[in-house]
Amino acid sequence: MREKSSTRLSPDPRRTRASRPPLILIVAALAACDGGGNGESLPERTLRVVVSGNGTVTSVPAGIDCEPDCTASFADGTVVTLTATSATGAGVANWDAASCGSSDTCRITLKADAFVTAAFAGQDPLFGLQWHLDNRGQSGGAVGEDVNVLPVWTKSGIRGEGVRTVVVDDGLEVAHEDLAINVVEGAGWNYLDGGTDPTPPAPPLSDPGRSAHGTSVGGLIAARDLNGRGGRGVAPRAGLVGYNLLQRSTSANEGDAMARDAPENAVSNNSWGPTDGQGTLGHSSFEWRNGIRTGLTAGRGGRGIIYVWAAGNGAPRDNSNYDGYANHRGVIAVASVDHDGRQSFFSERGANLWVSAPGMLSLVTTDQTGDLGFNTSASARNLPDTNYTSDFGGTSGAAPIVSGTVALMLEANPALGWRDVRLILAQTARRNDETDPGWVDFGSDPPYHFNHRYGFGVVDAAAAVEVAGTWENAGPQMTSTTVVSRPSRPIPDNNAIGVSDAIPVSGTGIRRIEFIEVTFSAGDHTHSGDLEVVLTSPTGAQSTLAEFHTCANNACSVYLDWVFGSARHLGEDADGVWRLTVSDRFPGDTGTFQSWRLAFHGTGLP
Amino acid sequence: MWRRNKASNRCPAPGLSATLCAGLLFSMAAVAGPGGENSGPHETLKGSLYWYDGDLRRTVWVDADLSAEFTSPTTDGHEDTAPGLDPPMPAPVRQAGIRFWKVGQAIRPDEVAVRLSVSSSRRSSPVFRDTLSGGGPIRALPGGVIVYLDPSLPPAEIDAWLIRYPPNVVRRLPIGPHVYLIDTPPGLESLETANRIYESGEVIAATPNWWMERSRR
Repeated sequence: MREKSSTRLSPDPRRTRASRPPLILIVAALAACDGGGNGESLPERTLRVVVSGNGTVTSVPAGIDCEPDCTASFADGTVVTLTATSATGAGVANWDAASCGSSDTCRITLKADAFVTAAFAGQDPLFGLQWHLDNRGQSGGAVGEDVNVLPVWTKSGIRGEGVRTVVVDDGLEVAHEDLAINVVEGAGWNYLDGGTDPTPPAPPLSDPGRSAHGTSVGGLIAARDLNGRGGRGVAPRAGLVGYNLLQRSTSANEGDAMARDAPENAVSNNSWGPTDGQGTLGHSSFEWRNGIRTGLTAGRGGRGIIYVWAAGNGAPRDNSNYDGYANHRGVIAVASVDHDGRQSFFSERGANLWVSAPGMLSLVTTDQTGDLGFNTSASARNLPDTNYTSDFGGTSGAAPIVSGTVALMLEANPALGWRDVRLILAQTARRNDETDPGWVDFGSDPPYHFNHRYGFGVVDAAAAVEVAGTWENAGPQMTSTTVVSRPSRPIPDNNAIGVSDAIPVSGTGIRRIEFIEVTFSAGDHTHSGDLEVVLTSPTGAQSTLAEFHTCANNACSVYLDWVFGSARHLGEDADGVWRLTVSDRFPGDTGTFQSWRLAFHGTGLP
Repeated sequence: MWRRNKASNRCPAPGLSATLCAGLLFSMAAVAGPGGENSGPHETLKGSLYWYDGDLRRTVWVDADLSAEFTSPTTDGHEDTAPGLDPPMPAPVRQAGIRFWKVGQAIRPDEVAVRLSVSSSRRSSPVFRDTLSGGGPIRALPGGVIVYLDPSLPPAEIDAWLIRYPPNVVRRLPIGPHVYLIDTPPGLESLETANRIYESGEVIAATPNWWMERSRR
């Protein structure tokens, strides 16, 4: 627990939404002039409001209620609160005057006559379709099943300003009309030509959308708000940088993409990984791991880059823990939920999952301009404007929604370290899909809930940002690695009980686990997909690390010093007896539980 | 069984180059023993090679059905044929400048490079799998070795190593104090160079610059 005070989560948007007027951009220009006075009684001050665009402005005390132009008089010194209301739907107010901030109201103390121009400049036309930001049932889903970001924009005025977010992908169309203003000029990288423009090449006519993925990912993070174009990103004022790693995915480039410009980059979004749906183990490269280590230690002045990772779309065959990228302790693995808050059919389970976010294949976001992207003029069921698409998704879509949330958190509190961000997300994630039997509750200070389908739950941007604002940095991270235990015991074939081995752990000093790595070998098993591997903590809490599954072409990988990750034991004490149980769930192939060891990462704070 | 595919273990293919065969024979011996791969082999995997993942020695198996071709990444739409080779297969991933050729039964893997070399922009590599059973993503070697020099060495010694060593430094990588990508030809020479450098004991690590199958999600 690292909060400075007893922090309350943000008000439930489902309660406030109905009463909050839908507001869009207000550009307010405040010009005052001396209204004079007779010196004997309070002079009256004149307030004139001119509204441009499709909306109205009202005042308290009453007097201003007009569109497009009206004037009212108030006693000198009156505090007048102006409220701007869009006529076209939900939105965010942005008063340009410094005294107004970014809320939906503007308060003026009338010491002189005043003239306010309120311009509704830019209903983002696709915002109403973005159920992941504001689920009002527009896609047929459950109202309120979104990431609760509106209070962050409207109440806090936080939109990711000044936070640099990298899209590591197949490219980023830096000149896209809804992204360009947020793109950090000259900061991108093109692994094909060594230049700074990661804009994808035009695809073959036969393969539109071939390299549009990163542009759609970028829009979910930081499509510009209130500009009259497209929709919005979760952090619509965050800086965007593109690295087109997936155009040339070599190990040298993987490392480079994780560590390039580490001092400047705050968030790294990675909606990629080893090919999904194979049932095999996807080893991370040595260079990638070194790049992550560099980013965690040297990024942002030592506070660390926050790496957000798509957990994988390979369900039911794949488990995210078969992916050596998504199960690394340095990344936030993100699963996908649909518009009802339930697991997307493709979203992989895993003890390594940290949080979930909307990723159903109906996300509205930017697309490569014209007919170069997923949505072309020949698309039958997509948006008329082919610069955008309405069928993006996957854990590729879920991850950038979390990246945007992290950008908001870092604007609220730039001092957060990478571990702080993880802890806040875990603490504030919303328990979705309440009736799913996979939820477990544990801990008390703070309480957590975890589900192998969802991690700690669906990210709640408002709650995360609010907690971030008062968060004290986590204590120094401690790491303790056990000796290697070598049970070398045969795994009974087709036997659910399996074989277990225990490692007694003591003296680690780790009172709060943040992540566990389990290095496991059963290298002689002739079909590793038969194996279920379960870690049991001293308290009896269980992480399912591997499940019975098939493999593409019947060709499974071999568990040979494979490193599993687990988030499930967050907050537990490392000391005690830990047990690993390995069982074979299908007849025919056999092998041996050869060895395992544990590495705990956490703090010594009680 | 509905998911079993156990072909007999096969010796390295007779058509492999002398260099590859030597590596295969050596590494097949090297991986035998406790903890080694012994699951059912894939029909077309011909043998194994080793490489160093940091200080961990790993094994890869050659997929004799495939060859990877690396072209100038900015040159899309290059020739779709090569003498004696089938047309290129649909790429498992959509990346510019790489495609895969199916190697016919009559074509030896070492001949692929020759047949692809009709264009100077073409660089070929065998395709590798991480397991003998043919599972896991594919890998290939576009050229290059990543070298991790001991950061405690004086700068002059680091400079001397970089100057002394024949391959050119392509660029410095930001993933450690003294990590460099050095140039090598594509294919097995990249792997062999990495192993030779690491086994010299002069460096902290040396890994081949793998191209790996990575996908959007």
